[in-house]
Parts: sequence; C-alpha cells; structure tokens
Amino acid sequence: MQASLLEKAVTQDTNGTLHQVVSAAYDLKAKSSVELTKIAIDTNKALGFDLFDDLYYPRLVLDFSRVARAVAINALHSN
Amino acid sequence: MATLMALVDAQIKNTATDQNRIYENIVGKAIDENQTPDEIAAAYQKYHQQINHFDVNAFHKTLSVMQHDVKQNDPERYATFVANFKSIPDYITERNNFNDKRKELLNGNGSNSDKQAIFDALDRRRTRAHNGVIGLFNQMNELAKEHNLPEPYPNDGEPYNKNDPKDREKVAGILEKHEPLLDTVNNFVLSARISAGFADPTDNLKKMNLIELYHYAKNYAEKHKTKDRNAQPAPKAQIKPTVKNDSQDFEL
Repeated sequence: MQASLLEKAVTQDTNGTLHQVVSAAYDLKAKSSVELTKIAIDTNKALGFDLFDDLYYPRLVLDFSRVARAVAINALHSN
Repeated sequence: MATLMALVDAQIKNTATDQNRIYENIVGKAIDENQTPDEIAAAYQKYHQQINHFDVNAFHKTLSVMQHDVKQNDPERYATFVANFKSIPDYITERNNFNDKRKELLNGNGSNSDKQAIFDALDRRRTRAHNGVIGLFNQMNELAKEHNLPEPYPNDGEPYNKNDPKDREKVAGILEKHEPLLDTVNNFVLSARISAGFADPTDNLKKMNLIELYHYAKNYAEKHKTKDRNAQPAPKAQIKPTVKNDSQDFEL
C-alpha cells in the first residue's frame, strides 16, 4: 500500500467508502480471506484507484488495520 | 553474450553506485558536519531506511564468502544455500498474477467454501515461498556475522521474524526492489553448483521413506541445536535512535 494513496483515500473520502474496511478491521470475528478480498476489490473500485495493491491475506490484514488507524488519526486532526 | 557472473557484477555495480551516493548524502554529510554520535547513528538508521534494508556492498562480500570459503570448506552448507536461493523465483512466481488469480476465482462459479479452500491453498503456497526467502535472508546475515562482515539485509541486528507481519513486509519490499539482481544471483549460484558437481540436497530427501526422513530430521535438529549452543551470541545493537518521519501521521 502506498502512503500517498492511503492519505488520499482517508482525507478525500466523504461517502463512507472506507466504512467496510474499518468495520472489518475492528470486527471481533475475523473475516475470511474471501470476504476481505471482496471488500478490498469493492473499495478499490469505489475509490477509483488501487488502494489495496496486494490481495494476499496477511497483507490485507495489515493494510486494513493501517487504514483503520489512518481514519482514526484523520478524524482526530479534523476536529 | 554476457556470462552470468558478468551480469551479477554489472547489476551489483549499478546498485552500489546508488547506495554509495545515498551514504555520502546522509551519513557522510553527518560526519563532515561533526554531528554528535547520536545524530550520526540516527543518520545511519535513515541511510538503512533509504536503502530499504539491503546493503549491496555487504551482499557482494557475503556472496564472495559463500562462493569461495563455504563452497570449499562446507559443500553441504553451500548446496543448502543454493537450494534456499530457489525460494526467490518461487516467491516471485507465487506473487505475480496473484491478484488476477484472486479476482478470477472470486468472479467464478462455486460456493464460498470452495473459493475459500482455493484461496487458502494460494495463500499457503505464497506463505511457504515467502518463509523460504525470509530464511535465506537470515542465513545470509548469519554468514556475514560469522565472517565479521556487515549484514547484507540489516534489521537492527535481529533476524527477520516470519511471524511478524512488518518483517514479512520488509522482506517482500527488499525482494521487489532488487528482484532482477537477486534472480540473477539465484541463476548464477545454481549454475555454479551444477558446474561444481554438488547434488541438490533436496534430491536425497525425495528418495527417502518416512522412517529415513524421521531420522534425517532428528539428526538435523540435533546438529543445529549443538551448533547454536556453541555459537557466539550476536552483539546487541547498542544505539537505537528514533528517526522522525516526515509523514508520521500516515507512516506505514
């Protein structure tokens, strides 16, 4: 995941596009690789660029947690 | 037509030119400006980040040790190194087209559980190849330490942990950035092994039955446990300066 694309996605998302990603990151029940892959592909499509450029399951888990952290930091800074 | 050795030398030379320039701009500058030891250590840390945890000069020296000392004095260890280098093309194969395969499977027919089973199999193959690359990097670092050389894949003096997602990501990043060089080196060491007439250590394993495999594994574990007990503990990194990132908020 590129840092510039992460920043772009987090700061420019006003439609709740990243909501599914954040929910999956905080879900107590771990999502399967099929579910995470589907969320990643749908999010890429909605954003218009490949935020998740690697669909390998361990990488998706790491990237989803990064997105959730970035969304939280952005929310703090924008208040 | 260039030989493999000439190709390896040329690729190493190109990467070394870039690396030396980065060293001069960061560490050299800190030394020239008479900065404090802590600031110089921080500059060195930044230099490692800029070269993405791959020191090509150290890699060249370690590879020479492998090709000369290890090949001559410990052919079995040399053959194991060569076998482990094979994890590089294996990982590249698993990684390339991974995303396309995933999308194809997701859009294909079949129940969710069928898709999940295939996804798991793809993940397992890629993880196995990735673990092989992590093991190779740790072995190269270990070889460098035994010969008092700087580590080719520095990680603050610690081995890469295959259970740590960030270490896994670092290793994947190194391989992605230096794929042409590492792939050429793999072909070079493989051809060197074949020319020297050393057998692939995995060939014998394929011919063994279950009991022979069990005894082989037991002896291998014993041999490495003894080796670990006799080994000198690696010196711990003395200074761990913190380096402020420019985009700290969204640091990866």
